[in-house]
Amino acid sequence: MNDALLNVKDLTITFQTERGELTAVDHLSFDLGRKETLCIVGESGSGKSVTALSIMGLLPQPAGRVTNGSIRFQGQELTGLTNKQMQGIRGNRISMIFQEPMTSLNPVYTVGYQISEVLKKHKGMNTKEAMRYAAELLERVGIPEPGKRVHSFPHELSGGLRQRVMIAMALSCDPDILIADEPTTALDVTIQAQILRLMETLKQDLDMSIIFITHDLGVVSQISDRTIVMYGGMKMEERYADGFFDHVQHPYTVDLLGCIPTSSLSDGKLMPIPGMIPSLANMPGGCRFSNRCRRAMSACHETIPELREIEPGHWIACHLEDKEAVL
Amino acid sequence: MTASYKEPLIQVRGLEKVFRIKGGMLEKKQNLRAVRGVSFDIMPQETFGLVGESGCGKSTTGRLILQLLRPTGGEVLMEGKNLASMKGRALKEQRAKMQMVFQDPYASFDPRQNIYSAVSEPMVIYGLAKTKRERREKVAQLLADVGLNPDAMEKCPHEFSGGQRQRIGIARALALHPQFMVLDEPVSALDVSIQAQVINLLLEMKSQYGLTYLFISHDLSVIKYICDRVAVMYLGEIIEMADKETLFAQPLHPYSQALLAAAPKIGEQRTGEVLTGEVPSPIRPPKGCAFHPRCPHARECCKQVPPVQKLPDGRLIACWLYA
Ligand SMILES: Nc1ncnc2c1ncn2[C@@H]1O[C@H](COP(=O)(O)OP(=O)(O)OP(=O)(O)O)[C@@H](O)[C@H]1O
Ligand SMILES: Nc1ncnc2c1ncn2[C@@H]1O[C@H](COP(=O)(O)OP(=O)(O)O)[C@@H](O)[C@H]1O
Ligand SMILES: [Mg+2]
Ligand SMILES: [Mg+2]
Repeated sequence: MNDALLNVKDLTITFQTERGELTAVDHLSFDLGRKETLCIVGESGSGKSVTALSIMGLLPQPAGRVTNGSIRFQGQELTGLTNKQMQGIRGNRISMIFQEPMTSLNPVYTVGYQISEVLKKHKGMNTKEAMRYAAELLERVGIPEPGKRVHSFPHELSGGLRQRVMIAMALSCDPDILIADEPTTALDVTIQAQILRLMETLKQDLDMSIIFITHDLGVVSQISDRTIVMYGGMKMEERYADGFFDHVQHPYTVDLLGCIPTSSLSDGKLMPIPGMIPSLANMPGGCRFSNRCRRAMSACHETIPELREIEPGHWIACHLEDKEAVL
Repeated sequence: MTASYKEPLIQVRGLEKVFRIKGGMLEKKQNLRAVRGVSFDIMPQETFGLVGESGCGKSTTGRLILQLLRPTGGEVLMEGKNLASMKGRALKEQRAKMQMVFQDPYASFDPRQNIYSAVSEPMVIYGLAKTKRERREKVAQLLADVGLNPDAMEKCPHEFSGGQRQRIGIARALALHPQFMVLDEPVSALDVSIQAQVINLLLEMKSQYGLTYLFISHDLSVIKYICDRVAVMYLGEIIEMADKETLFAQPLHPYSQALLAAAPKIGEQRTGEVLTGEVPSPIRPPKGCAFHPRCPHARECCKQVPPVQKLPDGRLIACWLYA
């Protein structure tokens, strides 16, 4: 897709460790359209955060490296940019928020000061303008009494308010893309509902695209336009079409749904996936899921399945035939 | 389900906990009212759920019941005996019958202790299984029960994944043949595929050993799956309590309704109103119904404490809409 805002192609990310070079993300490709919400969903260690960090040019150095593939933002190649070149894009055109806002907020400065610093740097405002605009941003993200709150220190705010501050800061330069890495995982459900609604509103108002990383399939149901399921650093399934959950095909996604109790009274027994999530050093050969898959055949242990389109806008990487793949 | 002729295993009566906390730099100490008059019974072999948002007092309630914290009001009876009045040997023996499994499978072990010592430690303290050989056999059996290979004994906690550590925590809790277990968010830190394994394990252990559970979670779906009866907490109080079926078919308290509506459901788009505002501080809980400042149905009377009503379907509810 050429009109996509972001094209990730064959992205491979490795880490240099005592156990040698380990592959955290393996030939991952996806596109992000304008005003689209892309959900990347997967269990821990599936490579979601690392993917996000690589787009931001923030892979832990020197251990982490993009060893293959490209990340193109509006046609411009981002891999290989210097840190200085990346600074023009990071926080400006592409912003990111994290699960735990305290890791990115500085405890010794007021939130107003921290937002205004970003504004001064990227927008060339003076101190007074920046402070006024910071309060405006806090208001926009639904923080009560924004005029007072600009003078608050991060620890004086609840988790939900801190996440709103992070969103305000991420939005300060009207980014084209907001990457949100599990932004609501640490929050209570009622506060999560508020933050999800806020992000939806802001996306409409600001014409943004969102990459939303989560392990919560319920959240995916609520916000996703395009859904990618990752496991062991690889894309297992992707659907760009409505009704993802009515159409899941990959045995991993199907089995994952069988692990989740729902809030309906009529749901059946949980069917756990046997075994553990393999560590990077112990990835099985062939399909990453092959050693836990109830339907694995000999081919699954030997070759990595190609991603194939099983219906328009829906891809899976699985050796089973399309019709076979549904349990 | 529980038969009505049985005596409750656990009786909680007007339980209260006030923490004295430091205020700001120049301020005096303040009272933080973590648990404010909580009462419920747990029947033998029942799984009783406590659900609510962060800080509403679930863990504190669990710890108070196990006497890991001293209540500032109210009492806890186990098998009809008041735990607060027990001392010495009697208390020690009673305590062995009550165990706890914690949320964080990483923090609940001493990193230098191998699994054998971690699991056998309570047996040593209680003089169960006298010889080392007996203890090793017992530990091997417990590990097998929770689905681990006995060679895990020689390993240290860091060699295990979160799900495996949670299994070890369950094995340790089972070592003294408890009757009652407080499970404080036992699966919240786990990945979904592992979460399901541990939930099923807890259910198996329950039927194998005839256990009674107090299951604490903020996750309504997990609560619904595992519990028989559920109490919803808000700011240190139980605002609604009912059989699982009754509550999930139709929550009646506006807060229970909001909580159920806010939990994202797989395959469903967002519906309904989003609850505004945040949970107020337990240092100054709102007067009357603690939920009234956020409640869409709040009226003048809600500034008074609502009476606890028992409805025909057996549920208890503290809300003026039903008074
Ligand atoms: N030892 C303590 N000293 C002071 N305050 C405490 C202490 N333990 C708990 N609290 C406070 O008591 C209230 C209830 O806490 P509790 O841990 O019981 O909540 P919870 O419902 O288990 O929440 P979560 O879902 O976050 O685990 C909170 O406001 C908490 O900050
Ligand atoms: N700095 C690092 N050094 C070595 N390995 C790392 C590092 N950061 C992440 N990894 C590994 O990369 C894999 C993917 O991690 P991550 O993207 O954080 O997963 P998640 O999907 O949970 O966000 C994991 O196996 C993780 O252990
Ligand atoms: Mg992550
Ligand atoms: Mg707790």
